Parts: sequence; C-alpha cells; structure tokens
Amino acid sequence: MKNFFTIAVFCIIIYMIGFVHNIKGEDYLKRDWINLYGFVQNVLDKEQIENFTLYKTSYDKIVSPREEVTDSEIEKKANNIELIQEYCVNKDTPMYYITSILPIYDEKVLPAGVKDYSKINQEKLHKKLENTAVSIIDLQQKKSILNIKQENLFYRTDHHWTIETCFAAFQEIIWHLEQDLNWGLDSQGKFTDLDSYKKIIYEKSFLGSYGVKVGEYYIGTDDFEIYIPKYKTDFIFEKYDANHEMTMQKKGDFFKTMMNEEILQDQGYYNKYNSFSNGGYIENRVINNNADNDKKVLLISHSYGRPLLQYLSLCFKEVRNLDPQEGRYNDDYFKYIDEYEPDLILIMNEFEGEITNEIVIQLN
Amino acid sequence: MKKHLKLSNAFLCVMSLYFYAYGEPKLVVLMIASIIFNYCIALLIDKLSRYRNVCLIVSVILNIGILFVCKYLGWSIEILNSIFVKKIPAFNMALPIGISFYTFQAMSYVIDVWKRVVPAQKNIINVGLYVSLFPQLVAGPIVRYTDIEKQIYKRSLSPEKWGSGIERFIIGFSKKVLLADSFSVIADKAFLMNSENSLGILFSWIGAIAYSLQIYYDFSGYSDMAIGLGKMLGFSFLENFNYPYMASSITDFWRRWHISLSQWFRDYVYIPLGGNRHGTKRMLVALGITWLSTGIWHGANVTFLLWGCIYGTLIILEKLYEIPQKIQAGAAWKIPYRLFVLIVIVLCWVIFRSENINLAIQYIATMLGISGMTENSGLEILYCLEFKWELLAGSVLCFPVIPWLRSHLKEKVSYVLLFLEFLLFVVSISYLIKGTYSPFIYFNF
Repeated sequence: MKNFFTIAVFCIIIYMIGFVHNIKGEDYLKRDWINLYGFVQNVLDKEQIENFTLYKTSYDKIVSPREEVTDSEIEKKANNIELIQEYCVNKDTPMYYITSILPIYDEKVLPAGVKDYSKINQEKLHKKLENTAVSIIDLQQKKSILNIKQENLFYRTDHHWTIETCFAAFQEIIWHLEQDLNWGLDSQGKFTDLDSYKKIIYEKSFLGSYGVKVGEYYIGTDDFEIYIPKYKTDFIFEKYDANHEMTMQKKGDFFKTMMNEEILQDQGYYNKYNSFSNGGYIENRVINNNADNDKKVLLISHSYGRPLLQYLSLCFKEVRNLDPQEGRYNDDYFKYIDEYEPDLILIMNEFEGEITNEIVIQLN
Repeated sequence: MKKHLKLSNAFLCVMSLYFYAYGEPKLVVLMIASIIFNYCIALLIDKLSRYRNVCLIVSVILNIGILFVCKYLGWSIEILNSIFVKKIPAFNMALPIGISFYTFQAMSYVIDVWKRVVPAQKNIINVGLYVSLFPQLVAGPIVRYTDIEKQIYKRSLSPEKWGSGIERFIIGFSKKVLLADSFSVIADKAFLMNSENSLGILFSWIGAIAYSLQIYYDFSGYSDMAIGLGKMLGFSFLENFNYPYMASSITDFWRRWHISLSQWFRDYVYIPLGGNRHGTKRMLVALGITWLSTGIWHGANVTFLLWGCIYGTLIILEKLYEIPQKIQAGAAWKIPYRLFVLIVIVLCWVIFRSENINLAIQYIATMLGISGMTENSGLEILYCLEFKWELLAGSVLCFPVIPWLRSHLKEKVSYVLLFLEFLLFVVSISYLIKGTYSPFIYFNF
C-alpha cells in the first residue's frame, strides 16, 4: 500500500510531464487548453496577449502595433523601391507600388499607454516616394476603402484584409491602372461590380493567426466570407514550391480552381484563409482562358496577395504571385522578371504599416 | 527497517537521480560523487575518532571547493584578470542545477555526524536518498539530515496526507504559473527599460514591487510544491516561508524568508564562529561573515555580495540598538518601521535582480528621483491595469488569508475551496501550455 503511493506519485509526475510536453508540441491537442487560457484572459479583462505584442482594440479586434522606424531606415527603403522602379523603367515595364491599409487608424482604439507608429512610418515613406518616379497606388486614400467601416477592414482574429477590403482594393487597383494604362481591363464593368458576385458566408468558422494564440473564447471567431463570380469563368491554377516544381494544377471555374473547398467545409480547421489560392504561399500562377486581353502581371506581395490574385486574374490573361517572405520565394527577382517578361509589375510589401525589406534584399 | 520501506527508499533514490539526470545528464556524476564522498567521510568520522577533525576539515574543503569551482572560479578569474596585467585563462562552466542546495545538505549531514547529533548512516542508499530526494533537490528547502533521519526509517502515508500534499502542490504550482510568471513580465520590462535608460520613476517602483512579488511567489511556490510532493511521499519538510512581507523588522524578515537557508547559516556558520556568546565584537564579526556568505551563496556577482552586506549591516544595527524590541514597546513606530522594512526589502531586491552594480545604482536612483529619469512612459497604467487581478491577489496572499479561511470556514464551504483549488490547477496547466520556458529563479542558485 505504501509503495503504491510512492510509485503513484512518480507515475503522476511522469504522466504530467509527458502530457504537457505532448500538448506543447501538437496544435490539435493544445486547442482546448488554449481555449481555456483565452477564456480566462477574457474573464480577467486582459487587453494584451503574447507578452505585450498583440492588443485588443476597443472594437474587439486583435492588432499588432509597430515600433518607430528611423529616418535613415525609411530613406533606405525608399531608395530600394526606387531601385526596382529604375529596373522596370529600363525594361519598359510599368511598375506600381501599392501601399498597405493600416489596421490601427487611431491610437485611441488601443489600450491606454500603447504606442503605434505604423501611420507615422507609412507617411514618412510616402513623403520620400513622392519625390521619386515611383508610381504609387495609395489604397488608404481610395474611396472604396474609405467607405468600409474601420472595424470591417480586417478580420478580428487575423492580420489579413477581409474579403470586403480585398475586393475594394481589387476595384481600386483596376480602376487606377485603367486610368493610367487604358488597357481595357474591365470594359464591360462586370469584373469590378460587386453585384456580379455571389456572397458565401461560413459563419464563426475562422480563427486567424492572432486568434489561434488565445482560442475561440477571447474575442470569438470570425465569419469567413467569399465572393464568387456569377458569370462564367475558366481558369488554370498552378501552385509551385521553392524548387520551382509544380505541386498542384487545377482547371475549371473560379471556385473550383482557386479555392480549397476541403478547408472551407472542414469545421475543425480554423485557418480558412488557407483556402484562398489553395494555400499556395510561395508561387502561384493563374491563366484566365476567358481573358479579354493578353496581358501578363507579376504580383509580388505577402499573403495579402492570395485572395487579391484571384480577383486580379479575372482582368488579365495571366497573373503570377510571388511571396517574398523569408522561407517563401527567396530567389532572384530580377532574373524572374527577365524570364517571365511581365507587362505589369505590382509590388505590395508593406505589412500592417511595416515596410519589409525582403524583395530588396533579394534584388541586391 | 521494514522491507517495503527499504524498497521504497531505493526506488526513490534511483528515481531522484534519474530526475536530476534528465536535466543534467553529465553533471549527475558530480552529485553521485558528492553522495559517495560524504557517505564515506561521515563513516570515517564515526569510526576514526582520532582523525575526526581532519576528516571534517577535508570534507568542508572538498565540498566548498567543488562549489567554488562550479560557481565562483570563473568569476574570481575575471576579477583577478581585471586587477593584474598577467592574464589567467578564462574558465567557463555551466552551473550544475541545485549544486548550492545539495552541497549544503551534504555538508550539514557530515557536520551533524561530527557533532554527534546523528550517527553516521550505514546504508549509502539512505544518504543518496537524503541528498538527491527529488522534490526539494533543485531549489530547496535545504533539508537537514537531523530532520529527515527518522523519516527515512519510518514515515506514514495515508490518503489524507496524500490529499493534503496534492493540495499544497497545487497551491505552489498556481503561485508560480499564475502569479510569479505574471509579475516577471512587469519586472523584466522595468529592468530592461533601466538598462536602456528609459525607465521612469513610477514604473521603476512598479517594477521593483513586481519583482519583490515575483521572487516571493516563485520561490515559495517551489517550496510549496516540494513540501506537497514530500507529503505525498510520506516526508514532512520544514516550512521555508512564513509570510515574509509581514515582517516587523529586518531580523524578523530573515526569520520568515528562506527559513532553511537562514537556519543553516545560523547553525553552521554564525554559531560556530561564536554567535552572540563571546561579546559584541565577536558577534559583529560572526554576523559580518555570515551575511557575506549568505550574499555570495546566491551567486557570483558583486550585486549579491552587496545585497548580503546591506542585510548584514541592517541586522547588526537592529541588534546593537535593539530596534525590534524598542519598536515592539512603542506602538507609534510599529507601522512606520514596518513600512521602512518593506521599502528596504524592495530596494534590496532591486540590487539582487540587477545584472551589475551600476545598473542597480541607476535603478535605485530612478526610484528615488535622483537619476534625472523622472518622465513616465505611459506604460505604468497599461501594466498595472493588465495585471490588476494578479497584483491584487499577490498583495492579499502576502497575508495568511488561506489559513484564516480554512480555520473559519465550515466543512461544506471548505469543499468549495477545494473545488477552487482544482480550478486553479486546470487554469495553471493552460497557462503552462500557453507560456514559454520560465524556470524558477532559485534554479540559478
């Protein structure tokens, strides 16, 4: 009996160590514990998570405030963007720098004492770029974006745009390009008309990259919405890995080729954002068999570009999307441009107001 | 000794060594060597009465020597190299976990055998069990052989004791995960800001208080877990904390804080040096040496030395001027003196936590508003609001609230308390799973 107690103590300790160790390594085992943790944080009225790196706004969205970037750093980033611009000018290829939309529009929405410099950083960069030949599409100032309520611009539990924002960005980009280039990108106006799309909502099904850190009961989950063209479409979608090997090819209409239906239907899988562009996070190519023109576009962007690629591909013959984040597409971008010879290059490498250096580092 | 207890002791000894080897796969050899050496030397002291003093001296030199090599040699070389032109090659060694604790336990066993307080242990398994017993192995309390000797031969286990052990373990675990780790976020930020010269006066106080709470709940949490696990195995370890922030004087604080360490130094350093039986001068010397040793025991850094010196000086002053007795007699000074004691404790923790003496001085200067860094960053409100419940719970639990509740609640209501403890345990596990690596502070000592 007494030995039983001693052995039992050890068994419990070993079981607990193993239990915590296993759970820490496996996301699916962690989920319930993270949910409990998030619930407790909610009850305790916590406004920050992840050691003061993520905050809950006054309208219950999780955001990541940014540190101030020094003037010399801004100068360097502006020079780098100009460098790409010069390369494109030499190749006679129009290039546009698309600014990011900021999730924190006013410090007042943050808990008292929290500072955010994303707006200041962005303004400083844009001021620098205004004095160069770089063409900017400033989404932040576009009417379609301004019409969206600030709290609806981004998912509450994620750092990505909502589909509403993404579609508005798509509209504004196409309208801006059409005004500059006059390529007849949407001559009938149906591609950029929201009425040409059917809305599908997967209610309370999405827990984004911020939300997974605190589970379902901190600020809840997001509805996941997608817009599907009502008109007939015909695409070829290809996904490539870091070794330039094709890992997926799909042919068919918009929904069938671009979206991963399995992810959308799986109620236990929370990262619905991965359904866009079939979760391709290195290089995606889309050929539009019904295109009104033969233009080829290279979209260099972070994961924001995945749903945007889907809509842009409606207006062009071919769109390719490269993600410059570390561990994604990290090869020579100049070489890629030389080989692909796109008619248009779109660059979107600001991340929540933080101007990343990845493409430039790779270009240099 | 009954056969089942022999088996139990052997099993516990092997598993404790395995537990240590899990964290220190190479340096477990050092611990085994320490067990064998101290077992043999104690037997020699017992058998060879003519050489017993020599044996003791050899034992103390070797034990302290090993501790010195592992903990202080690299630091000493650094100091010598900064003084002299001729450079000694640097010596870097990872500090074996819990070496200060198990070395002190082993030494106390040998000294107690030499003092003839206890007979030498014939069975090496029992010495091994005493030195390596896993619940208190890495961060105390420092268990004396005299306290545990009888329990090696005879200890009782019952479902009630088991239950109370589990309860104690849960309280300690929750203290560490829910309170200490939360306070560490505030304290780490404050000390980081201090090193970046951006710490304001208000946040410096919040950070210092947070660290005072962190170290208390971290260390007392570990002690609770050790005592709880000990109970579950049938052992009764002595208490290591007794609500130290309720202390009425500095002397009283050290009767309530890390009790096992204070008593160890009292019995094996202060009293052998003469204590207070040979006049004031001798007492002052004994106190000075004891407190220097206490400071340096915590680590190889001038900050620990200074921390020990300050406490030594204050305790000497309290003894010389009989301050605690005078305060007790005059009611008007009780509360102001308690406040003074608390402030001194908080300031001393700043020295203890700082990476070096310059940063400690800078931090304290900021607290006192003489560093020029008076501008507040706005983080004060954010951190206080964010941890309001933890700060509230941490402050309240510095007082004996739980024992009071237990003694005043009826049996039915105490089940509610039990349920709350279970809830705390589950929530603590969720924090543990969510959190990053956060070792106990005293693992470094």
